[in-house]
Amino acid sequence: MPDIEKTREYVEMVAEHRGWVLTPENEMLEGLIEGLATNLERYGWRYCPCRLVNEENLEKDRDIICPCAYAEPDIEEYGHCYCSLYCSSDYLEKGGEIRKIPERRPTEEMF
Amino acid sequence: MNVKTISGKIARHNVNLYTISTCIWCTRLKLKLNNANIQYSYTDIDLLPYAEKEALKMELQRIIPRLAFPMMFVDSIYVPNENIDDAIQDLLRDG
Repeated sequence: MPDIEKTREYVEMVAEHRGWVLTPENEMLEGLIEGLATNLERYGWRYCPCRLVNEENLEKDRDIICPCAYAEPDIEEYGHCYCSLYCSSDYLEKGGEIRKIPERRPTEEMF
Repeated sequence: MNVKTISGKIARHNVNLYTISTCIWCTRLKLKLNNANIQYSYTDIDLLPYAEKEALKMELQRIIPRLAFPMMFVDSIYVPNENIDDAIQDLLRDG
Protein backbone atom coordinates (compact mmCIF):
# COMPACT_ATOMS: atom_id res chain seq x y z
CA MET A 1 0.00 0.00 0.00
CA PRO A 2 1.40 3.40 -0.92
CA ASP A 3 1.98 5.63 2.09
CA ILE A 4 -0.41 8.50 1.36
CA GLU A 5 -0.01 10.39 4.64
CA LYS A 6 3.80 10.48 4.50
CA THR A 7 3.59 11.81 0.96
CA ARG A 8 1.04 14.43 2.00
CA GLU A 9 3.44 15.62 4.72
CA TYR A 10 6.26 15.63 2.19
CA VAL A 11 4.49 17.83 -0.37
CA GLU A 12 3.24 20.20 2.35
CA MET A 13 6.82 20.53 3.58
CA VAL A 14 8.16 21.17 0.07
CA ALA A 15 5.52 23.83 -0.60
CA GLU A 16 6.29 25.62 2.63
CA HIS A 17 10.02 25.43 2.13
CA ARG A 18 9.89 26.74 -1.44
CA GLY A 19 7.26 29.44 -0.84
CA TRP A 20 4.62 27.72 -2.99
CA VAL A 21 1.10 26.57 -2.18
CA LEU A 22 -0.55 23.27 -3.05
CA THR A 23 -3.27 23.16 -5.71
CA PRO A 24 -6.63 24.32 -4.37
CA GLU A 25 -8.36 21.63 -6.45
CA ASN A 26 -8.90 18.95 -3.88
CA GLU A 27 -9.63 16.02 -6.16
CA MET A 28 -6.50 16.71 -8.16
CA LEU A 29 -4.43 17.13 -5.01
CA GLU A 30 -5.52 13.73 -3.74
CA GLY A 31 -4.79 12.14 -7.13
CA LEU A 32 -1.34 13.72 -7.24
CA ILE A 33 -0.45 12.60 -3.73
CA GLU A 34 -1.59 9.08 -4.57
CA GLY A 35 0.45 9.09 -7.78
CA LEU A 36 3.57 10.25 -5.96
CA ALA A 37 3.08 7.62 -3.25
CA THR A 38 2.63 4.95 -5.96
CA ASN A 39 5.87 6.01 -7.65
CA LEU A 40 7.70 5.95 -4.32
CA GLU A 41 6.54 2.40 -3.83
CA ARG A 42 7.32 1.36 -7.41
CA TYR A 43 10.65 3.09 -7.97
CA GLY A 44 11.91 4.19 -4.55
CA TRP A 45 11.55 7.91 -5.23
CA ARG A 46 8.60 10.26 -5.63
CA TYR A 47 8.82 10.78 -9.37
CA CYS A 48 6.36 13.18 -11.03
CA PRO A 49 3.15 11.19 -11.51
CA CYS A 50 2.47 12.89 -14.86
CA ARG A 51 5.71 11.70 -16.47
CA LEU A 52 7.16 8.36 -17.53
CA VAL A 53 9.96 6.89 -15.44
CA ASN A 54 12.76 4.84 -16.97
CA GLU A 55 13.04 2.09 -14.39
CA GLU A 56 16.22 0.68 -15.97
CA ASN A 57 18.03 3.99 -15.56
CA LEU A 58 16.58 5.78 -12.53
CA GLU A 59 19.67 7.94 -12.12
CA LYS A 60 18.85 9.66 -15.41
CA ASP A 61 15.41 10.67 -14.17
CA ARG A 62 16.59 12.60 -11.13
CA ASP A 63 15.28 15.76 -12.78
CA ILE A 64 11.69 14.54 -12.40
CA ILE A 65 11.81 13.63 -8.71
CA CYS A 66 9.21 15.87 -7.05
CA PRO A 67 9.71 18.81 -6.82
CA CYS A 68 11.06 18.45 -10.36
CA ALA A 69 13.77 20.60 -11.88
CA TYR A 70 11.15 22.32 -14.05
CA ALA A 71 8.76 23.35 -11.24
CA GLU A 72 10.44 26.67 -10.53
CA PRO A 73 10.51 28.01 -14.11
CA ASP A 74 7.01 26.64 -14.74
CA ILE A 75 5.58 28.30 -11.62
CA GLU A 76 7.26 31.52 -12.66
CA GLU A 77 5.94 31.38 -16.22
CA TYR A 78 2.57 29.64 -15.82
CA GLY A 79 1.67 30.03 -12.13
CA HIS A 80 1.88 26.32 -11.39
CA CYS A 81 4.07 23.33 -12.12
CA TYR A 82 3.55 20.75 -14.90
CA CYS A 83 1.36 18.38 -12.89
CA SER A 84 -0.23 21.39 -11.09
CA LEU A 85 0.65 20.23 -7.57
CA TYR A 86 2.59 23.37 -6.65
CA CYS A 87 1.24 26.83 -7.42
CA SER A 88 2.25 30.40 -6.82
CA SER A 89 -0.07 32.04 -4.29
CA ASP A 90 0.08 35.30 -6.27
CA TYR A 91 -1.18 33.49 -9.34
CA LEU A 92 -4.11 31.96 -7.47
CA GLU A 93 -4.98 35.22 -5.70
CA LYS A 94 -5.22 36.93 -9.08
CA GLY A 95 -7.77 34.31 -10.13
CA GLY A 96 -5.33 32.25 -12.22
CA GLU A 97 -6.73 28.91 -13.30
CA ILE A 98 -5.20 25.46 -13.19
CA ARG A 99 -4.82 24.08 -16.70
CA LYS A 100 -2.53 21.72 -18.58
CA ILE A 101 0.69 23.54 -19.42
CA PRO A 102 3.33 22.59 -22.02
CA GLU A 103 6.04 20.10 -21.11
CA ARG A 104 9.30 21.93 -20.44
CA ARG A 105 11.40 18.79 -20.00
CA PRO A 106 13.29 18.10 -23.22
CA THR A 107 12.02 14.91 -24.88
CA GLU A 108 15.65 13.68 -25.20
CA GLU A 109 15.65 13.32 -21.42
CA MET A 110 13.02 10.61 -21.79
CA PHE A 111 15.31 8.23 -23.66
CA MET B 1 0.18 -4.60 -25.97
CA ASN B 2 -2.11 -3.93 -23.06
CA VAL B 3 -4.94 -1.95 -24.67
CA LYS B 4 -8.15 -1.47 -22.73
CA THR B 5 -11.42 -0.50 -24.37
CA ILE B 6 -14.17 1.44 -22.63
CA SER B 7 -17.45 1.07 -24.45
CA GLY B 8 -19.77 3.99 -25.09
CA LYS B 9 -22.72 4.91 -27.25
CA ILE B 10 -20.72 7.32 -29.33
CA ALA B 11 -18.53 4.96 -31.26
CA ARG B 12 -18.44 5.97 -34.92
CA HIS B 13 -14.82 7.10 -34.70
CA ASN B 14 -11.80 5.31 -33.42
CA VAL B 15 -10.59 7.16 -30.30
CA ASN B 16 -7.29 6.04 -28.90
CA LEU B 17 -5.37 7.37 -25.88
CA TYR B 18 -1.85 6.91 -24.60
CA THR B 19 -1.83 7.61 -20.90
CA ILE B 20 0.08 7.24 -17.63
CA SER B 21 -1.85 5.44 -14.89
CA THR B 22 -0.75 7.88 -12.16
CA CYS B 23 -1.30 11.05 -14.21
CA ILE B 24 -4.26 13.19 -13.15
CA TRP B 25 -4.51 14.90 -16.54
CA CYS B 26 -4.81 11.47 -18.13
CA THR B 27 -7.46 10.43 -15.59
CA ARG B 28 -9.31 13.66 -16.24
CA LEU B 29 -9.46 12.98 -19.98
CA LYS B 30 -10.66 9.41 -19.43
CA LEU B 31 -13.43 10.75 -17.15
CA LYS B 32 -14.40 13.37 -19.71
CA LEU B 33 -14.83 10.68 -22.36
CA ASN B 34 -16.70 8.41 -19.93
CA ASN B 35 -19.08 11.24 -19.03
CA ALA B 36 -19.65 12.05 -22.70
CA ASN B 37 -20.37 8.36 -23.37
CA ILE B 38 -17.67 8.24 -26.05
CA GLN B 39 -16.12 4.86 -26.77
CA TYR B 40 -12.32 4.76 -26.58
CA SER B 41 -9.29 2.60 -26.07
CA TYR B 42 -6.31 3.46 -23.91
CA THR B 43 -2.88 2.19 -23.07
CA ASP B 44 -1.33 3.05 -19.70
CA ILE B 45 2.26 3.21 -20.89
CA ASP B 46 3.83 3.11 -17.41
CA LEU B 47 2.31 -0.32 -16.80
CA LEU B 48 3.86 -1.91 -19.90
CA PRO B 49 6.90 -4.19 -19.70
CA TYR B 50 10.10 -2.18 -20.13
CA ALA B 51 10.97 -3.16 -23.72
CA GLU B 52 7.41 -2.58 -24.90
CA LYS B 53 7.28 0.79 -23.17
CA GLU B 54 10.54 1.97 -24.76
CA ALA B 55 9.46 0.80 -28.21
CA LEU B 56 6.15 2.60 -27.89
CA LYS B 57 7.84 5.81 -26.74
CA MET B 58 10.05 5.70 -29.85
CA GLU B 59 7.07 5.06 -32.09
CA LEU B 60 5.08 7.93 -30.57
CA GLN B 61 8.03 10.27 -30.77
CA ARG B 62 8.23 9.68 -34.50
CA ILE B 63 4.68 11.06 -34.79
CA ILE B 64 4.88 13.75 -32.11
CA PRO B 65 8.42 15.00 -31.53
CA ARG B 66 7.53 16.51 -28.15
CA LEU B 67 6.16 13.76 -25.91
CA ALA B 68 3.63 14.71 -23.21
CA PHE B 69 0.68 12.74 -21.89
CA PRO B 70 -2.22 12.15 -22.34
CA MET B 71 -1.99 11.75 -26.10
CA MET B 72 -5.24 11.46 -27.99
CA PHE B 73 -5.77 10.16 -31.51
CA VAL B 74 -9.05 10.21 -33.44
CA ASP B 75 -9.03 7.85 -36.44
CA SER B 76 -5.24 7.70 -36.07
CA ILE B 77 -4.86 11.48 -36.28
CA TYR B 78 -3.16 13.17 -33.33
CA VAL B 79 -5.24 15.75 -31.44
CA PRO B 80 -3.07 18.42 -29.79
CA ASN B 81 -3.88 19.09 -26.15
CA GLU B 82 -5.43 22.49 -26.84
CA ASN B 83 -7.85 20.95 -29.38
CA ILE B 84 -9.10 18.09 -27.21
CA ASP B 85 -12.29 19.82 -26.04
CA ASP B 86 -13.20 20.74 -29.63
CA ALA B 87 -12.48 17.19 -30.75
CA ILE B 88 -14.85 15.87 -28.05
CA GLN B 89 -17.56 18.27 -29.27
CA ASP B 90 -17.02 17.05 -32.85
CA LEU B 91 -17.32 13.44 -31.70
CA LEU B 92 -20.56 14.25 -29.87
CA ARG B 93 -21.98 15.97 -32.95
CA ASP B 94 -20.98 13.13 -35.22
CA GLY B 95 -22.35 10.39 -32.96
